[in-house]
Amino acid sequence: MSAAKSRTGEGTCAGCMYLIQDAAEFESALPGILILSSGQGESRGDQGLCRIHQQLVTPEMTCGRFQPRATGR
Amino acid sequence: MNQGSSKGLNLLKTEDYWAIWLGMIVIALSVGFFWAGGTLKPWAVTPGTWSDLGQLAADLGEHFSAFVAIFLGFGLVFAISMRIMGRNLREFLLGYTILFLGSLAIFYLAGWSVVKKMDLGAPLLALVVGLVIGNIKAAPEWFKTALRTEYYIKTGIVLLGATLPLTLIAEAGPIAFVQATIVSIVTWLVIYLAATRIFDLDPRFGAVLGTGGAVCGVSGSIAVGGAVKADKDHIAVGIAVVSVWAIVMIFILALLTKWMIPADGGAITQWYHISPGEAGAWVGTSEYADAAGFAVVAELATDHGDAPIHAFTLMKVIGRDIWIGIWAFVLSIVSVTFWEKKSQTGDGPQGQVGISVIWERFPKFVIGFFAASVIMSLIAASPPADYVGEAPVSGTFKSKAQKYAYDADFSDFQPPAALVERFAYDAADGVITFEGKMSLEELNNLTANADEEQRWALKNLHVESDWSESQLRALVIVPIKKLRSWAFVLCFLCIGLSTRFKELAKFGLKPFWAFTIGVLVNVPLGYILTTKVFVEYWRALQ
Repeated sequence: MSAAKSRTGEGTCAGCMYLIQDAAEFESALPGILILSSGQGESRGDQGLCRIHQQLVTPEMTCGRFQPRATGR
Repeated sequence: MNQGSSKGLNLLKTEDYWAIWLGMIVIALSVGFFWAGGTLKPWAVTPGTWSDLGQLAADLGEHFSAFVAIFLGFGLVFAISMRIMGRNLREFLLGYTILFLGSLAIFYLAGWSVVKKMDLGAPLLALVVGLVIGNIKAAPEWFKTALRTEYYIKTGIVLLGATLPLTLIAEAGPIAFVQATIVSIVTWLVIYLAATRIFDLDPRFGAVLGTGGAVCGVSGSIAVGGAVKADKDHIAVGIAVVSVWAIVMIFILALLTKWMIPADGGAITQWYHISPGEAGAWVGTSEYADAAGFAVVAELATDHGDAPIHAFTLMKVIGRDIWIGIWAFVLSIVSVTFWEKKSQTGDGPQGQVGISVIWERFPKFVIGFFAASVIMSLIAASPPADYVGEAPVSGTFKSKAQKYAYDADFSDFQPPAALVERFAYDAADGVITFEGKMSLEELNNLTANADEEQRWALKNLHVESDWSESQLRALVIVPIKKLRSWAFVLCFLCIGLSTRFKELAKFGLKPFWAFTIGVLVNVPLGYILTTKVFVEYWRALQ
């Protein structure tokens, strides 16, 4: 991953359409999270859920299934 | 709202920072009123006690405008922040209104003489009522927008910083760190080894479960989950197992510690007795989430003062929570180096988190907690140079252990020569005064030739001469504590209302038993470290 890619999110999970990063959507995907935690706290930070791999990932991660997020999202 | 658009400060994007802003607004208001010669006290109240409906109505009538002010004040900041964080404002406001009215009802229920006899405070009552309602009927989706357990507890913790002297953090903090580190590492290893060696679970799953039990509950599981690329199912099960055990432990620890602490501040005479400070430290090592632990110690505080809350905060927040970034960083390296080589399926996410994760996962609300403590400690250390304490010659002396109505006559009283300049009797106003803070030695000198009634009046003057205790605490810190209680009860009610045991209990037995083995080691280890190894620190803590 190049430094330029890392910054813009191009090619990384940060810019991927399969990443669930919206806090409300993140909370809906993990029932029970609101009991003692939140999708809006620093402990979650910028982590998101990958819809393809069903894994929790950080934005700088990469994979072969990357698809750029539509502009304006 | 996308939280990941920036690696920089999310000053308006996360609950952690909003908890700091709200906490600081409350502290600034309380200090501002005080410096302007007033106090926030009339506006920062919780419902009183009552035994018949007439008393209830009178209390409600007396404090109604204050309750409206608290509702609007908290509600305004919560609403603005929720809107900025991208939540539906209408849903939040509706939910928050119901939640606030529910909390008000809980406070009044806890203040009813019948419930008081049951030794049930507002914190546990909020949890129980919430659990009953939440498990009979699931909260509608729109209401969930207002169920922000973490936001409310973080706000309460920032406010708590204003009531916890910096000196206490400096004295007991290192001990809390040592004890918490021992417990965290042992608990993590036990859960991880049980998960991977006994139940053959994926190492990353073991790490998620272990961190949930050892560091900071569900938030810990999530913080580490991304670093080790845990499966969504692992996180979901981790949330469920940790939540179930955290709620079960609220009741176990609350009942146990209530029984173990001698009633009415009595002496420790039985083998099973522990002090309020020890109870708080034990809960701090053996609860799995901040909100759950605060439910226990806030309940204890209704009878035993703030020592359990202080000890818990030192142990849990300072001893365990703030190290979550380091756990995430280290486990990320372990995951890439060992675990992913064993389980990699080929096209999964690649990459390792950088050292910046230590800061990124740091629970930022803790900065607000420390800032509040520093601010209040600095103010407390700067009493007015010309402060003169004043006590009535006829009045009531009140302390934690004593209460006495006295009626003294100082017309013939002769203070020691060394104190003549500082002590004065004003017969016209019926008061005695003392310039500067009276030391214990000076009190002893003054009371040496005093009669019984004069002694009580002088003891009162001793308290009143301490500016930080008689002025700052009474007029600034007490109102902050009252508002902290509101944040806590909102939080505990949220825990109950958002917990659906039927929906949580969908995890397999393997992760449950792995975590349970950790609990079985963690609880006695926390007890031994608190009440045997580091007992002198926790017993002395106030």
